[in-house]
Amino acid sequence: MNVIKTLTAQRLPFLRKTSIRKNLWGYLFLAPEVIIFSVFLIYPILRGLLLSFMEYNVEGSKWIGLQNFINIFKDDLFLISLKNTTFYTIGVVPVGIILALFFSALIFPLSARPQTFFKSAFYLPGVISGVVVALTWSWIMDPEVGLLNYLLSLVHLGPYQWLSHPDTALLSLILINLFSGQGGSIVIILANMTSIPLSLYESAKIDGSNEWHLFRYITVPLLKPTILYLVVMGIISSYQVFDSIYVLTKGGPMNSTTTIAYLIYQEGLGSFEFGKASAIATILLVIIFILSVIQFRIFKEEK
Amino acid sequence: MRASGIYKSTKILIYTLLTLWAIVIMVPLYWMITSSIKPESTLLTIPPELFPEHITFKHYITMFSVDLVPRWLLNSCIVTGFIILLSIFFDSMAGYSYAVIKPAGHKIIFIIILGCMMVPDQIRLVPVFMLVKNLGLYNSYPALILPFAGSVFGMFLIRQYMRSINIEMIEAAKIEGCNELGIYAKIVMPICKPVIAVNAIFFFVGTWNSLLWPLIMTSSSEMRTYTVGLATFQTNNPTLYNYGVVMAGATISALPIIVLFLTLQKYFTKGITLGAVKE
Amino acid sequence: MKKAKSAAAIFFAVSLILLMLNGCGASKSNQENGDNQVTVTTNSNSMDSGNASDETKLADDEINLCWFPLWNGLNGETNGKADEWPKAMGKEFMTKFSNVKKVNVELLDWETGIQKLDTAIAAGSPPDLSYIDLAFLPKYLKQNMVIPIDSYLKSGEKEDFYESTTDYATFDGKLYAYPILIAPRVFYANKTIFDELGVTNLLPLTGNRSWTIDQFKEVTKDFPYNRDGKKIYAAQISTVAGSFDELMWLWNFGATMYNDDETQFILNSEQGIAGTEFLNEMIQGGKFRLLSGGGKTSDFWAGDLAFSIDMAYTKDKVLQLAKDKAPEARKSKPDEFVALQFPRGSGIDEARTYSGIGGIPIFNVKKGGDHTKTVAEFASFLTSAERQNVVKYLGCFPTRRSTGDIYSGDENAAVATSMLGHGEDLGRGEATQKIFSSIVHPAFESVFMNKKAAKEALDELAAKADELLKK
Repeated sequence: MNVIKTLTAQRLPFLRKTSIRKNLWGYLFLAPEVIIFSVFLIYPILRGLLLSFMEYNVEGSKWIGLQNFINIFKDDLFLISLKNTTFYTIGVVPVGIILALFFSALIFPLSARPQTFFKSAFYLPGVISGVVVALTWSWIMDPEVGLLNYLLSLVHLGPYQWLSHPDTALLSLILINLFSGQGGSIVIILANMTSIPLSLYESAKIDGSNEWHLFRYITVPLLKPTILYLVVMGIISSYQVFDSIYVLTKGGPMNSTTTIAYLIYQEGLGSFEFGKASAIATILLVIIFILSVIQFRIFKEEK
Repeated sequence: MRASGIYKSTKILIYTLLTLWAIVIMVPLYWMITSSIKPESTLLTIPPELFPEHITFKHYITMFSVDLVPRWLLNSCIVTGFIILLSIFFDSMAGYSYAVIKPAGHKIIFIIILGCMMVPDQIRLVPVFMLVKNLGLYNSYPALILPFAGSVFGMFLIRQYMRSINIEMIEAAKIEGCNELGIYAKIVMPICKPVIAVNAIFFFVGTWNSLLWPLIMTSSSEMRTYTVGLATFQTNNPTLYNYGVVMAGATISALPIIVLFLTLQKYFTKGITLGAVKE
Repeated sequence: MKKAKSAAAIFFAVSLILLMLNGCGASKSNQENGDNQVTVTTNSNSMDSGNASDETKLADDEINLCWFPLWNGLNGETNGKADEWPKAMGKEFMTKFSNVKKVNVELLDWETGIQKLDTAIAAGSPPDLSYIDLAFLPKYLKQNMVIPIDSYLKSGEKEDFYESTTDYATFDGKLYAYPILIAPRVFYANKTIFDELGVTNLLPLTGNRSWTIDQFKEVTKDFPYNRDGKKIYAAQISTVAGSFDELMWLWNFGATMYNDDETQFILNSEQGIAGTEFLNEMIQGGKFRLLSGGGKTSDFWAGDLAFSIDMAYTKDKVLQLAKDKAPEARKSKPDEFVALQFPRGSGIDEARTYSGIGGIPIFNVKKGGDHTKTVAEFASFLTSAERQNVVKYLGCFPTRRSTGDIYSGDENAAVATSMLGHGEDLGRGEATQKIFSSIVHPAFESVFMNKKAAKEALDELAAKADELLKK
């Protein structure tokens, strides 16, 4: 951007024209997506969030100000869901990204065929559709006939209750995520690693760096935008975790796997209390937003 | 230039680690495929049968005996195809704008759109349903395609990738007389092949496996996508349904994704793409 | 590259426009499966004719019906489809009422269908009619999403319905649905397992099949039972959302959920505590399987359990289930199943069962009285006496007196009938759904997982429930 600044500084009369042209091009490129989003994303969400301040009625909702929020904070279940969701996110995001980085680092230097093989092995299990994944895992983790307890019994461990006990259910969900959800991150990291010039590695090696140094001082810093992406996306998606709970545990046992998103579903489509559900979503939005801003600061988005 | 020499001292250890993890991760996939070819009686035994003794393709035949399955597959293909193409265009154009052009106010727009990701889907379920009905698009292909013809996370990913592109190259092109469209098409997009390939795969998987939205947007069996059809078919044909058939249906569902994934490998496997953006 | 991209962009823009012009891409064939677009054309010329019958006065009309997989085919044929019956009914109705030009039947599945139905209702675009479990009726009531049907009932029609069914759908003195089936549950036993254990003589196989909890405990003394390497439990208690297994047992100990005017939650009575402690005893003793959170349910019909709670299927259907679900090893001689009454706690003379009631409400589609009249006609038609015979394939009972006895002496039906006299339901108010969806099961789970004593957990539950009831 310095080049443009110097150029335009020298040619002041062109300043405005270039600016306007630049902006026009910018908006033109943004236009198709922004239009679709405005219609199908922003508008419905705004309508939905507005309900936070209302009591929903299909014939006309009534404004009730902050009453929904007050009711929510008085509700035990909301605080439980907050705790569960936070715990889940902490269990899933940092560990998941570290795992993904670790395995990407191992895969990257391999030649093309093994690379493709391992990438496929790590990614493809994640493409199975949700219902089937749930069925499969509920078999695997079944306390009586499940594969997991069977394998553990061969080394004299277990049996554990996994998804059927309040003390272990949330942990089981975290494990399911870690053991099947990293393929996508690995693929993204590897794709971004291809843009790191090999000359950097070569010159560093000449200076005497070993593999760990290469990874730590070249690869990771250059992957910062990617890591930021993974962390922000990770927080956004794990705070909204819903599918596995809906299919596997329905919030139980003893509400140990009730997450914020599941609570929203229960209040919304479950009890038709859309006002309350929207209010919970608004709170969730604020939480995620703050966390994301923190992430952006940590990773210092510059340029 | 290959970088395969970097870790040669620990190659065996690496392969072992990777293979072990791969085995663990692949258990559900393996389970799904083997269950789809096991005869029904051997499906739920204790201890679980790890290597199928008898094999049958009966479940697949049952799947295709349901008359709407080909139509569902066609619907999924159409919907997914359009969504991928539209999303790639829109996302990359928008990403380019955020990362390179940076028009006035782009940060705010970006934040608003990113913020929308932070709201659970259920909040927009009823409003979008009402919108689609009011627009008269209910139970049609546009209803399945348009609301998803642009992906925030895809756009975000491309933006991040484009931010690391060397500015000087773009400036040089500008001086030579290229306008934004030219730079976008001729310089930036080719460099972005890895990310675009990644996005294509993710959009495919996301759309193909999507259950709730296509269900809400359609009312007739003919308009359902494969995943929705599969889910409803299980409960509506209880005599044909058993775990083996479910697994067969799921395996069929996974096949196109596997094929696409392997085909697109060449765009983002190291050693084949020369992503020399920082030379 | 640029040219190719522009060409592709134009191509897709054009295709999109073409698709959009095409409106809905629904198939041209098979109009019955058509889209849910409802167009009502007011018939401008036939408003009054010399004909006195109601039908010709009604305008051209179209009806949207949502249905769930209840019975297959027209008469419960196993290879029939779940939407054959409603579609056939629609066709028949159209021949009788010529102003109805189209009956759209949308078949929903149990998993996601209710979500879809609720979304449509919440968005203000409900179907005209849908089958629903009437336990969910209060949910729609509070927003005036359903219309009272009293003014559309024919003379004598209301009295034809059994009181218990119409009571269940009456709120504030108004009736809100046409009941179509009663679904009592019976207690099945896998007789073959007991033959293997040599204790079949302890089962109440004669008379009205009634027995006590103590007799039940005696017969399950040796459980869990190892059968061909598989662990067989006596019964299963599921505390996953949507089930109510615990209640079935508690009712037969004499506990009830609410007091008479449903203002207080009283499951924490002495009988309730006794029942809960009994269940806990069986679970801790390894005789009952506790299914909570995730986990695969045991399939009784496949021989995984000794006892199970299920609908009152006919003997023929039970034989069919036995054959279908039996693992290969037993296919030549499937297990034999018998229906029994629920074991009764001490001091209880008559066994009780849950009778779910399914019915058809009329949703508020804001289309005016004539349309509603037609829709009500259709609902009445669907629930009419001659057509209720089909509910027997689901193990259910008809809701009209005029239907008579559809089971003609089937054993299982007799067992269900004997308990129907003391049917229990889950309560009728709005609060019931909330109570069930979030606080009942965790309370029982805390007992079964040894985190709380029965009395403590139930008292806490009652306190929370009472609060919800107050709202």
